[in-house]
Amino acid sequence: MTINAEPANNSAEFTRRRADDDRATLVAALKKSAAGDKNAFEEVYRRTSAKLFGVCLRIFPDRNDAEEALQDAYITIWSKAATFDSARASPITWLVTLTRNRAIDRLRSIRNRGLASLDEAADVADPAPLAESVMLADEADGRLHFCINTLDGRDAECVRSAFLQGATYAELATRDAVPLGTVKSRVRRALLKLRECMSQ
Amino acid sequence: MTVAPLSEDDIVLAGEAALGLLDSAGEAVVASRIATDMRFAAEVAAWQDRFVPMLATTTAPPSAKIWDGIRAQIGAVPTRRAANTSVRLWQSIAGGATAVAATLAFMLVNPPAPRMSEPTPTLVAALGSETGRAAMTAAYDTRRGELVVTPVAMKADGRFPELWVIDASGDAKSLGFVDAESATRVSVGPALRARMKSGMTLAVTLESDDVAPHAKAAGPIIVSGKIEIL
Repeated sequence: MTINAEPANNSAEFTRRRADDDRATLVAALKKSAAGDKNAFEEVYRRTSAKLFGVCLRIFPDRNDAEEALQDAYITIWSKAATFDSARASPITWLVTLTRNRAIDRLRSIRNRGLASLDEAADVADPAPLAESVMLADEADGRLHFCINTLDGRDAECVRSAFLQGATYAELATRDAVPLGTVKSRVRRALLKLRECMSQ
Repeated sequence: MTVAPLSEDDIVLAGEAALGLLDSAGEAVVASRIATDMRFAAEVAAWQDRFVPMLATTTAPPSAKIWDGIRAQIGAVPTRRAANTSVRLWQSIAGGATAVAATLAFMLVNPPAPRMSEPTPTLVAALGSETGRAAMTAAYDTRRGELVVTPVAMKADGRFPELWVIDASGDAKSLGFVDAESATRVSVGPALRARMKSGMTLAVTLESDDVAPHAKAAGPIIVSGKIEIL
């Protein structure tokens, strides 16, 4: 970890430096975890578990389900730590993506066993923040939400259902009772518009 | 040299991959594209970045017992990488492909289990071509010495696709013929099992005669990819 001896000259600069330090600390802890250092992995857990638990709660509103998903995610993170490449991805993006993918695998397997349907899950696409939670107000976060809100409502719903519930094209088509091609063009339109909006 | 911008099709494909909308064939194509096309790999990574805020909206501390559960289970996971220095090699080539390839291989060989206990060590490889026109996936069950290779897009053109495992020095050993149309289950003989590890390369050549295994590959390589720990 690098230590900045110079005082930050304004609060934005201070925030940026602190974020850089946090990131460097997390990258270092992940690299040590990859070498089998369990104390370093505990540091990864300590720094990220509240955020990744938020991710699991977004996918599994039930707290017990979310905790199982979280546990599963960290075991995967531990075994895959060596594949993290800080030149290619930010540690948080890597951790959130991996957690999301593991949680979605679980959700899909529950759905495939007929224990839940996409329709039911759709109701929780945008839950109210939990009492104990803290809203994260970040510039990039705001931009994504702003851009999703500029999309046609059904297009946005396809993107949300895919990402947050692991919906497949076939499931989206069935749920909305439209041909597969319609769903595919909704997603295509949404992605191109999102990318345009987010690059502004 | 001017670099053409990514096509709309590629942008959409990368976004679909990040949303998890692709089927296994689509994911294999993406894995091979990530392995061979840095700009495409960067676009997939950029989509992952863009979507993170959709999920990371809240933080909430989990119960204290969760860490204890994790701590107990990571004790049981062998540090598989210790004896292996080839991981970096794979990463330098296809670091970004691992998530996609792993998801894919997970679906191929290991239907999601509700609980992780002692996991069977699984190796995976996403085999791609430079043109991106041919792709194949491989998943290897280390316990049973069984390799399943699945073609995603492949043309044999009347020739015979032969699978090879190649070590870092370029020494290739044949694993026999594989089917260009459907999945092939390859039982890896005891002599070659030591080669089935992270960092080794799997490749398919098109051979003109049908007497396998060959001592040396004569035909062109149509797809190749590094073996990686799942």
